[in-house]
Amino acid sequence: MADLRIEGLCKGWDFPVIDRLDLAVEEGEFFVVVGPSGIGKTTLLRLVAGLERCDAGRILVGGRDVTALPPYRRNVAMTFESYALYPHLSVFENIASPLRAQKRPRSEIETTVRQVTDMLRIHELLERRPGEISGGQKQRTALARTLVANPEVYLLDEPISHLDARIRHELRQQFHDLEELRRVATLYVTHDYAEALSLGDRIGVMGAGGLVQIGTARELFERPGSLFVAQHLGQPSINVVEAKLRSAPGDALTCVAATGDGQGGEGLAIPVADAHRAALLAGGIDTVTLGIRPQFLSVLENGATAGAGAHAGASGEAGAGREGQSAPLHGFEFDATVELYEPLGATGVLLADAGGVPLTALTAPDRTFDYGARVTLRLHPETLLYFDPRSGASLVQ
Amino acid sequence: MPPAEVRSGTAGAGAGAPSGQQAPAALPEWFTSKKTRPNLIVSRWVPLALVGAPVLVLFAIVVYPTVWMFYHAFQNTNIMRLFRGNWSYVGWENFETVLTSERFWDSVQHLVQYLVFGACLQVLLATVLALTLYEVVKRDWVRVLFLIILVLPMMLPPSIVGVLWKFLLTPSNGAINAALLELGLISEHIEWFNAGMSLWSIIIADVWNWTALPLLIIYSGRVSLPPAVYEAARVDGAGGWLVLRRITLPMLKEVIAIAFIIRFMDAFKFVDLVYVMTSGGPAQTSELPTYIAFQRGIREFEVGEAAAYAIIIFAFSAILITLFLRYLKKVLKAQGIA
Amino acid sequence: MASVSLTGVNKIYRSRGEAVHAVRDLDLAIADGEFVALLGPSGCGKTSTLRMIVGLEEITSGEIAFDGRRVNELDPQRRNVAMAFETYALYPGFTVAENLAFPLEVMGLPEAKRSVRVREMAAMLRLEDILDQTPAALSGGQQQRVSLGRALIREPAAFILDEVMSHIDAHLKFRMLFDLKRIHRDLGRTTIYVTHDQVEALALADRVAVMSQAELQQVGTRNELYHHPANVFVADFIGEPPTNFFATRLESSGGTARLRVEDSELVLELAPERAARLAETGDARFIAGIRPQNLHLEGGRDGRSASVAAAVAINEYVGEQVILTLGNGASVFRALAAPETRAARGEPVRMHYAPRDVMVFSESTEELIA
Repeated sequence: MADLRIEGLCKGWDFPVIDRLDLAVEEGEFFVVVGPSGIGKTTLLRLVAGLERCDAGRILVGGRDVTALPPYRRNVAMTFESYALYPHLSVFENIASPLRAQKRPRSEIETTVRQVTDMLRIHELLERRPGEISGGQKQRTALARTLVANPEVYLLDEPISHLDARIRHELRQQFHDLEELRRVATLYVTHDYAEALSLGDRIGVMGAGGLVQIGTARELFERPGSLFVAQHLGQPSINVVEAKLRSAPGDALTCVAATGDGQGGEGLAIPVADAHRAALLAGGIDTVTLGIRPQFLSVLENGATAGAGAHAGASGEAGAGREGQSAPLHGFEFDATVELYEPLGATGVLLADAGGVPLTALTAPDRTFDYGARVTLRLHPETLLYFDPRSGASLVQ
Repeated sequence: MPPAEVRSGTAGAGAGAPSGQQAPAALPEWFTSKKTRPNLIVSRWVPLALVGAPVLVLFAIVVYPTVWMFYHAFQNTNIMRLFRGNWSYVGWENFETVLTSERFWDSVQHLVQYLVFGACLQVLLATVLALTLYEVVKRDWVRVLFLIILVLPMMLPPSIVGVLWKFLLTPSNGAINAALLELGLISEHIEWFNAGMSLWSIIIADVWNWTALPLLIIYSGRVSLPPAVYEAARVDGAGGWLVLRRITLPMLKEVIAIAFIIRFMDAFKFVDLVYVMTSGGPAQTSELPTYIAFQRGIREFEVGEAAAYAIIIFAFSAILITLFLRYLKKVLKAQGIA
Repeated sequence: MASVSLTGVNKIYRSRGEAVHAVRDLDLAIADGEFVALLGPSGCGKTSTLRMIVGLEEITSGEIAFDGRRVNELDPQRRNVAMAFETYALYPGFTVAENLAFPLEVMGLPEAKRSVRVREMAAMLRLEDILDQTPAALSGGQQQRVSLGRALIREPAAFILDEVMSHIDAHLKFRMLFDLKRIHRDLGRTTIYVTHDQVEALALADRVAVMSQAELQQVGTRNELYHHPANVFVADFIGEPPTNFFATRLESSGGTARLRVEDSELVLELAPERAARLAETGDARFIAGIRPQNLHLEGGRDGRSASVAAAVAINEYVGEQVILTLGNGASVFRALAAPETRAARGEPVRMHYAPRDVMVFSESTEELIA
């Protein structure tokens, strides 16, 4: 049993793909790397597995430098996105292949394979060929083959992304439950943020060149260090609004959003929460990129509160700000026009236009919105995220 | 495999997803100074064992003879001197002899004729046949049958092909003349092995013998074109001719080029049918440079001169093929394949 | 524009001498201007159906009609449908502009008119900046937009879209969904959208046709599929995380009926009129289903009058919500909770639900009873 340490790892072909990446996965830790496709996640796994040679940097397994060792001497096991089962071998032989390579006695092979297949509930398929089993079963076979190898580090490449929802959730559950995985260092790669948040003890978000931010699921989702991280986690993805900071009566500060048409017009004005004010003022900048999570935008009943425009603009927002300290927040309310509505089963996604600013909001299911209808949206200024428009770095932590 | 991922990485970044990461203005030091090393990590002795043995064999059968040839191209070596070991350095004399001889330049003309009407014709014919076979014949087993029949000549040894065609083209009672007369296409025998005609005979036999090679290449190229593109064209309502002109041929361009390059390279070492069918005659009117090299070197033992021939042919073909490959690389790069 | 109707459509392939029934007795009527999704797992027959509608595949038996006119014998181009492909199927040597213009070129439209239309389409699909590039240089999302554009540019009778989002990164998907929905709203054309992803189908379509094993399972709006799934398959396939199913036995005592879950201590309450319906069937065993969204940590509102006890097995935080995997005896089921939920492994919880949210299916036919 051992930990995995990656120091200053570099790899490039036509241009740098992985640029001075550092990462330490502790013994027993399940570390997930999440990022857009083609960003180099698989390359990272292949470098650790020894399928690619790195251009610079070191890889240590349990303190042992394996950078120059061929894959079979690194004591790592990897599952491939495409399963990579041997088509001409039965499920049993596929799973047994690492043990055969290790020249284990026949009886031991037999018992080990039985154990792992019982656990993964594929024991009835042992005689079948990969061509005769379903995608989920193939995935479990590939996983079983990885598990029996009994390595010091597990490398899992998108093992469940291509499966149906039911099997995906079942396998997610198994990843949580498998003692084998929880005992050693595991490096797991996926493009699916929900999978990453669900499985990772810690999660690294990969951007161009390396890991942009590392943290627990809650840290990453609630306090993203950059706009890139905020955009990559969450579906529908976070609303991004360019805005100007402007001081309002009293100590208050508001963000005035630029209209979405790129003409530089001024739309919606959103108050800044007290908690964020100091950090924003200290930054000494006058424009920000606002991040608004769709789940924090609630849609009030159509037209129910839309009388006389009472809540629009500054009066509503000032009220919300003042009450914010004592009573539960009412939040900041504003009008918007329905552009599109997509019911998704468990939730619905509303695309609305708030004074030239397009916003998506998550709604309860069983609602209908007509194109062009007026709705009232409510948001709590505490839930807003602020980013530097140039660097994308978070301004408030 | 890895380059594909790299590319989709750049494309993904260009897809309009505002990413927090700006592309670094300057490339990092490790990248600009990195060495190109093999990707596969293996134990130290593996490359030695895998590469060492073939290198030794290669050296014995390629490098040594080549060096020997270059050496003797500048000596007055012939069979007698070779045995006595008393050849001497003559500078560029052998090359001069070759390049000033009418025989050589005639053979170059013949080579051009062979390239244009042999290699080009083969590729053209192969393209037509391959596409017809794929587009027109719909039953799999019929296609396979046709392919087998077309490939058969390629499997015959050149000596047999040469003798076969010599028989077929015999002016007085050959099957070809007989058939042409029967059909009324000609009124008297064609003298297939007269001066001016004999090279054509060789070209005909060669086309028969080797058209299947570019055909197989182009056919498999056509098979691997994405069917969805053709379905899209069908749904778009494009007719067969338009699809051929605007979609199939442009997509097969590289494959056809490769088929052509292969036949082109073969042309520079083509000698067997000439030897069997005409021996370069009559009066050297069907000689190719390779045949003269063979004749001078192996039959007349003018080793030095033959070596000069070989080097000249080699230089020619090397230049042309480099140009071809450069073109191919450019095309492939534009397509995002290489 | 046209309505599309399929009547008794069958597709049988011959594969190594064996007949494979890919589509069985399919009846489906799509109204003019309607957006219908064909949804199902891979191999369910949806792609064969679509290819028969387009005319890329022969119809073994049955009839496909556009605006009431039989089109079985017509070539794809004469059916005047446009299709976007899963693999994009862009013409590789062509630039984006040439790809878009190709269907118009085929129609014989003059150059000037073509370029006007190409520019309109490029504006609609945000392709202006890449008109001069070739497909090889484009990202998946861009290629997909070009292929949509090529299908849309002809103003055909119907659009057929085949798994067009399956290669698009998740965080770009919603934007594409909105784009598609907006285009459909603006153009109002009959659209048939094939997908294996229920999120896409529900988000886009006016009605969704769910297929499985060559047969149509149910056609309906989102609400119909979600609240009244015709059978276990539909209930399982629609919604994520998937519906929790339990093998149960009907139990009545003192005028009330409930479902006792086999292998665990769980008991599910039934709305009275449902209990009556179950009793009518004369069966004793039923499959009960309840969606993870309908199991709540808090009770007392929205009709959540019943509850079950369970222990937390896994707490998965996925950002917008928490997925709780719960156990009771041998029963394992999932529930959704607010993202703040911090219930730890082994913690006992009580999950509240409204009896009307319990779906009951026949054990033998797997069809919805109540």
